[in-house]
Amino acid sequence: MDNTRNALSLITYPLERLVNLPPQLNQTLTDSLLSYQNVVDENTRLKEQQFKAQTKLLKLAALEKENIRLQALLGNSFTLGEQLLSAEVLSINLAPYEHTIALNKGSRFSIHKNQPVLNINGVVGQVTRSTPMRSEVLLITDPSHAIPVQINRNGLYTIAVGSGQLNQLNLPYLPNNSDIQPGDLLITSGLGGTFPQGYPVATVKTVTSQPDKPFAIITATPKAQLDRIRELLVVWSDSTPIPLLNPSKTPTPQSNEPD
Amino acid sequence: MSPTNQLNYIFYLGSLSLAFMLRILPLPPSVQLIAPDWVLLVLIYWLLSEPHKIGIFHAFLIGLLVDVLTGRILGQHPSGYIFAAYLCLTLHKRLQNIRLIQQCFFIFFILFITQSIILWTEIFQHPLPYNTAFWLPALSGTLFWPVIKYLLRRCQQGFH
Repeated sequence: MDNTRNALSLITYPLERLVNLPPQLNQTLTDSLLSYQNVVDENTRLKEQQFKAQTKLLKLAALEKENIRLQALLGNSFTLGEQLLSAEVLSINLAPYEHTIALNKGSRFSIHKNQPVLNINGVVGQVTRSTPMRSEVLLITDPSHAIPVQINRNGLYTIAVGSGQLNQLNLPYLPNNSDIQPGDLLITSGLGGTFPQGYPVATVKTVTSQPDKPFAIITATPKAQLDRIRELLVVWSDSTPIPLLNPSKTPTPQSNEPD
Repeated sequence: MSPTNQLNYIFYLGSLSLAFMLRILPLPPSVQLIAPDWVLLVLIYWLLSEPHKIGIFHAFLIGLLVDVLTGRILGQHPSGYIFAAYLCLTLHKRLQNIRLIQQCFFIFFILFITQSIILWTEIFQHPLPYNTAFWLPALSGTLFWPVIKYLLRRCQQGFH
């Protein structure tokens, strides 16, 4: 079946490119017709951003090593390090009742099903299908999508379900007395295995407790502005677990030998 | 194939490609809800005007392409389109001889049933909230039918 789809997608691909042409042309024109002053301004701004980001990264390398070491001591096979591939959104509309978008890269770039998709602000969705030239992504706000999340402040686990509106996620499985408040950052918890741990997903917008019902009504706003996404990143989680420390050297809980 | 037939064939493919592109054109969500199924309308036009050349197999192939284009499960659109093609082919003699307003009622009937079949196959996969807006494309398609028929007829006559 997938082969049929791949073969047929070769026919439909030129049509998609044609539909995508006007916005792409617009983008190219704005890029090439920028004034010199604009380019200089942008360059200065980007250099400053790069400088800040680079400084933050200095610390990250050390923290990452430390984290790996601690995880190894605990005996966890924690995965770190993801590969990213940038892709662009094709401006085409797939289905009126679903939040799906199409990317301009597909299985030729070895994009496959269930890969997480991010942009610079947060999680966008996951790949549901890939044909040679393009792949389809289900957004986190689709009513049939659910993403395992964790509250960054206190580590509370829950699930964020799509609402069918591009600017809202629902958290239907938290009891009335749970420790959550507007403004809390939700990050991916890594449970379920699809999304790697630690990427920002949404911020909590409203918390309404219902005294007569077991669960509170909680809504959150996705960090990635899903109605104005253009460039996205497709993620490959490094599936090889981090090598544990040599078992003979790892202190076991029985031995009271200080490390 | 005679030269006129060949031209006709090019026009057939061209009009279908245009309909495919209209189908995936990004539109504001409110407009998207009422946008008619352009591919089906163009297909119906061709089924009624060239019933001896365009048949159910064409409807099947076109449905498959729409499935690939919109990322549905393969077979969803063909099932609806085949049904529409069958109705058009059995009724085409009658449809050619009635007034446009009566023809519109037939078209609405065909669009409504096709839309229902597609909704039905969709519900098989996952529950959808019931929404009357799902049938709006059938209504808007009926309103657009005279326009499409007029335009395609004029272009087709231009090609001959």
